[in-house]
Amino acid sequence: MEISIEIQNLTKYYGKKQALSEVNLTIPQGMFGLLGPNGAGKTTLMKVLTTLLEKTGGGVKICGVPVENSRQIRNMTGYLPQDFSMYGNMSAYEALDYLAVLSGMSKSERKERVPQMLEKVNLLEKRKTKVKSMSGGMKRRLGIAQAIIHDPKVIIVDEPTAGLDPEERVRFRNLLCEIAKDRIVLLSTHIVGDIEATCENIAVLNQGKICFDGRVAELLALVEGKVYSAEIAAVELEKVKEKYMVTGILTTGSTANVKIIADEKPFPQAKPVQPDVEDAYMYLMHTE
Amino acid sequence: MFGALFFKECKQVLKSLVYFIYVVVFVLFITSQMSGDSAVRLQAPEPGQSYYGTTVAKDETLIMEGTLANLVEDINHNSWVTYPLGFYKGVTLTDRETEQAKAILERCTGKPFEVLLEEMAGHFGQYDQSSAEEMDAAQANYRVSVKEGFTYAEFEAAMKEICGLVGKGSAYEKSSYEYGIRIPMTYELAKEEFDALCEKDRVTRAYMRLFCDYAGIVLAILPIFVGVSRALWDRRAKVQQVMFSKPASGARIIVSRYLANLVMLCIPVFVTAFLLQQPFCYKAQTFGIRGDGMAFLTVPGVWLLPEIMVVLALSFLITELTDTIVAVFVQVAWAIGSIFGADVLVGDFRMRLIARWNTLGQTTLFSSLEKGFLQNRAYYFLLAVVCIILTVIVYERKRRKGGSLVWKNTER
Amino acid sequence: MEKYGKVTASFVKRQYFPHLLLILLFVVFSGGFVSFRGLESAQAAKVMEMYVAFAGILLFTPLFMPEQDREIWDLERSKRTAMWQLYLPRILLALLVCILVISLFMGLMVRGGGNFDVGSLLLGAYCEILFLGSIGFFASAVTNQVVVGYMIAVVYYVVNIGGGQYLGRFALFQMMKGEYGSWIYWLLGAVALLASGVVVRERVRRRG
Repeated sequence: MEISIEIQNLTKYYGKKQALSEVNLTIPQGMFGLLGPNGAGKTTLMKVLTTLLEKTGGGVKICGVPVENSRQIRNMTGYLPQDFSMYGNMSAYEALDYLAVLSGMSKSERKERVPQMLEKVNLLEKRKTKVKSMSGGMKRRLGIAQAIIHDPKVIIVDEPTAGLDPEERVRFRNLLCEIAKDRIVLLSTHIVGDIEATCENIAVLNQGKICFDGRVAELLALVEGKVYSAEIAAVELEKVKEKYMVTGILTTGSTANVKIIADEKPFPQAKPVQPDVEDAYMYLMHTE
Repeated sequence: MFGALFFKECKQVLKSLVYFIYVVVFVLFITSQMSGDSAVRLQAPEPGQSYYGTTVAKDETLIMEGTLANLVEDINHNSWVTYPLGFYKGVTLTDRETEQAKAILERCTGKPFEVLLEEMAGHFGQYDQSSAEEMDAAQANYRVSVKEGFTYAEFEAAMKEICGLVGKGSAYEKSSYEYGIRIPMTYELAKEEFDALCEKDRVTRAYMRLFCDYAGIVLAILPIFVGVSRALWDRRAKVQQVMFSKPASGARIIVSRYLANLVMLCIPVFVTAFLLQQPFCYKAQTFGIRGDGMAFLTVPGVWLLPEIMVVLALSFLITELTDTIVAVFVQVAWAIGSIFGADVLVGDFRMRLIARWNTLGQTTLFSSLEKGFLQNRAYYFLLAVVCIILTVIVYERKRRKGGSLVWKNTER
Repeated sequence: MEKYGKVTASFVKRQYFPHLLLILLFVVFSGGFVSFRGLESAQAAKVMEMYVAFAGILLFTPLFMPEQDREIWDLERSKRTAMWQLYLPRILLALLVCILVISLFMGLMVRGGGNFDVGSLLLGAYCEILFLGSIGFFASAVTNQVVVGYMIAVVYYVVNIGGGQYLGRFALFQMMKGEYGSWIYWLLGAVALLASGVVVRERVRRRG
């Protein structure tokens, strides 16, 4: 069966407040990045996909199965929530084993898969460490292990790199890429760097609406030729910030090197530069 | 999968502080309360003893005489015990109301209150008030005879008036005095009782009923905390989201969790019951009979299991529903009310949560009450099952609503 | 001073309010459980010791509820205000409400025209109920589990129904038996438990 997620006209209300509005999205196999500011509705969307929230309207199918079939969907998906945690008094091994039981795995399967998964996320040596004394990075790795233990077709991870140090973040991203070889990994983040490094396809969610859906190259194309770099006097900085969209500032002494997004060349000394995803994202957020 | 989950839950229970406290408190409470009822004191009655204990009689004349005797004492002390909402409430009457009560009493007995008081003093004066046994006998023998030609129907009407004065839930309610009156046993009766204790109850069963009486008190309270703390643990450990996303059904999760907690709660009960039963097995041998070795399982199994079940199930349900510790307040009030609400400590099961049987023996009385008792226990058993089904429904509902039903799930 | 007021107000609003509401229900429905009319001293003591006593458990046990969340606790500890300065206003608030409730019940009983010594009963009730509450306070302080706090306090109450002889001078329900000398032990016990609760709690935490 084809591995894909299809979302059509998805709407979600919390009471009178609209969290998702007419979301249309097709997610193919591989890493898929969901980008958006805090409160854009990323977690809501992910919770609908993992059957943790009922949608208000529209349709969602995961590998052809509608989300209403929650049992089947839960068998096919693995979820790492934003604030993943487990019972503090359990060791890494016990916690993973417990969640594997909830995934319906038999004893022999668990005996085989649990150490495998711990090894995969580099926790095998720390299998006896109690959850309550784990660092943020360790917890997150345990979280990913529990999300993939039953070999789901779809893995949904919510803000997985928040709170990790740079090294851990890189390792975590690589881990996700590795996992995504034969599945969908849907990753939400507000950290642009995560997406840039890993995802081919992305969608940008803002105020409950999809405002971009496509490949990274297409996103970059939006700002092609609109990003400039210029050296200005530090005292002028405030004025420039008021007038233009500034995506980067590097101050050295009395001069400042700024990165600006503008439709036309802002001032004579500005030189056009290669845009990155962050520039494109900022452009998208501010032109909406 | 169910078995694996069950054993993992058991392990979780074992690690919890609340469970540890439960075991310590239960064992200390039971051993200290039961220490007064050792096997040594159980003796076959001999002819010529001055007092053989009491039994309950349901004869109408005796009921009238006993109830009126009680009334004389209550008017005299002006201290009336009532249980309007299952909770103890002491009532005192105004002078006018006391006069009315005296008038009702005089109508029943044909004697003024002062004369009745003198008779009472005379009666109690015959006994040596320094020994507990003698005092018991004095109390059990105290009677106030009715006026000639006074009928039971008239008596009922008079008691209704007394109830009007003292309020609901007193000993003068029809349902209360109908239960019967304590009378002293004769040697023949005592012998009969003792034989029933040996043959019908094979000693250990009677002893286990006494065990259940004490254990039932703490078991109405302690499991509340075990249940509330387990049900709140998911929220505190922030594991709800990840548990919700797993394929395991709510029924599996809740039922395995419930059964694990139930089994763990039962273990110390049955173990202490087994240990405490041993001297009585030996004692039975000295009477030339074989004690019922399985009594530690069968008697608490029927008596205490439904109670533990319903207390635990209700704490699961309320806590899953509200995500607060409010179950502690509701259920402690219920339990304390039930403890104080028992007007007699033997029998009087009705629909009470805690079934009291504060005596070793009275086998024939128990046999006569057994049907009502079993109905009571069956009711709580079913109630527990209903509570757990409701808990599963609540859990599944929370799962679809993304978390708590009462707290705002604002996280997006 | 204003700072403490604000922090305590937030505590009342977020955590304590339901408990205060329960206390209100407890007072409003008391008429269904106990009688206030013409009580003798033993009966008046019974109302205080067996019924009003629950107010102590209800008021003093949940004072550490915000810090049950480790993150909040750590955050508060990182601030300049010492933790005891945070706890003290809560304790004083609970104490104030407790005294009000006890005094209210006393007022009801006096109005009911009883025959008992108001002064000694009031003193005993303040100390005993505070003592029972401080048991819940201490248990929840040390374990950081409010449920355990309630459990220990309720167990202490129940044990006293039949097993008071094991608890020496700290046994409850003494005034019902006409023994009014225990108040000093209750008071000392309460102060010791309240103070050591806070100290043990923060010491243990500091060690990690």
